[in-house]
Amino acid sequence: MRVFAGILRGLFLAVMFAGSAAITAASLEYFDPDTLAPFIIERLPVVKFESLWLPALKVHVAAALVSFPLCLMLTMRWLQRRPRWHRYQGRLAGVLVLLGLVPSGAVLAFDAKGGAGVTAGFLLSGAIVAGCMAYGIRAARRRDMISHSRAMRHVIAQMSVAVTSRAMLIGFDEAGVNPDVAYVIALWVPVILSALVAEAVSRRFAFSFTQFIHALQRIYHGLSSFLVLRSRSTSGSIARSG
Amino acid sequence: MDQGLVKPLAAREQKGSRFSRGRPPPRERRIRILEAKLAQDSKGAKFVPFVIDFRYSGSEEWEPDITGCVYQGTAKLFVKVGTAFRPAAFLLGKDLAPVPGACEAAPSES
Repeated sequence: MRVFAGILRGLFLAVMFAGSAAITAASLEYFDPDTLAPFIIERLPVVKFESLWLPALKVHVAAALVSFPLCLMLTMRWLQRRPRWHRYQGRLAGVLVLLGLVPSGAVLAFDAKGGAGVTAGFLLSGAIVAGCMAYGIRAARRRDMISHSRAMRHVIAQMSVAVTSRAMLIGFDEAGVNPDVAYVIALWVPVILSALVAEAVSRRFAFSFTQFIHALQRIYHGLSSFLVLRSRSTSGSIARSG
Repeated sequence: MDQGLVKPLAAREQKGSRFSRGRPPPRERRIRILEAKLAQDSKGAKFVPFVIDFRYSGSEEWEPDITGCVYQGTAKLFVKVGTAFRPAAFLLGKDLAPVPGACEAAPSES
C-alpha cells in the first residue's frame, strides 16, 4: 500500500512538473512586446478594464510560473529533510501566492470566459488557495506539521487545476464537446475533485498518524508495565534471597 | 481574404500551444461576402463587408466569428474588434490601433 501511494505521488509530481513546463512554454508569448498572444486578442475586446486586466494577466502568469514548481518541490522528501531550505523556499512561494497569484487571479476572474459560473469557480479556487496558504503558514509557525501538510495539500491541489483543466479542455476538444460548455466543466470538475482528493489524502494520513501514535503509546505502556513488573519481581526475589 | 487572413490565422493556431486557456482552433472556416455591391467609405474608397464563420470539431453548425471588410484594389483587410475596425494583422498578433472610418459606409447621396 505504501509502495502504491509512493508511485501515485511520484506520478502526480511528474505529470504536474510536465504540465507546469507546458504552461510555461505556452505562456511566454504573453511577455513578447512585439506580438499579442491569441488569448489576449480573444479577451481584450470583452474585458471591462483593459489597463487593469492586462497587467493582472502578466502578474498572474509570472507568479504562477514560479510558484507552482516551487510548491511542487516543497512536497518532495529531499527538501523536507532540509528544514532551512524548505522554510526559505516556502516563504518565497507564500509571498508569490498571497501577494501575486491570488489577487491578480481575482481580478482576472471577473472577466473570465464563460460568465458568472466560471467567475465563481475561479474565485472559489482562489479563496481555497489563499485561505489554506495563510492557515498553512500559521500552522508551520506553531510547529503543527499535520495541519501545515493538510493546508498545503489543498493549495497544491488547487494549483494543479491549471494543468488538469487544460488537459480536460484538450480532451473535450478532441471529443467534439462545445467549447463553451467544456470550459465550465473543465474548471468546476477539477476544482471540486482536487479539493476532495486533497481532503481524502489528508484524512488518510491523519488516520494513519493517529494509529501510529496509538501504537507507540501501546508499545510504551506495554514496555513500562513489563519493566515495572520485572523490577518488582527482581526486587522481590532479592528481598527473599536477602 | 483567404491568403491575407484565413490561412495565416490557421497557421498561427496550428503553431501555437494547445495547453492554453485560449479557445481551441476551429476545425473549419468559411468566408461569406455580405453585399453583392461595393460600398464606399467617407474617403471614397470602395470596400465589401464579409463575415468569416467557423465550426468546431463535432459541430455541424456554422457560427459567425470575424466580421470585417476588404478594400477594392488595395486588398487591405480590416476586422471588427470590440466596436472598432482594426487592420486584420491584429488577429495575427500585431498590436495595431483601430482605424477611424474603416469599413463604414458613407451616407448615400440622394
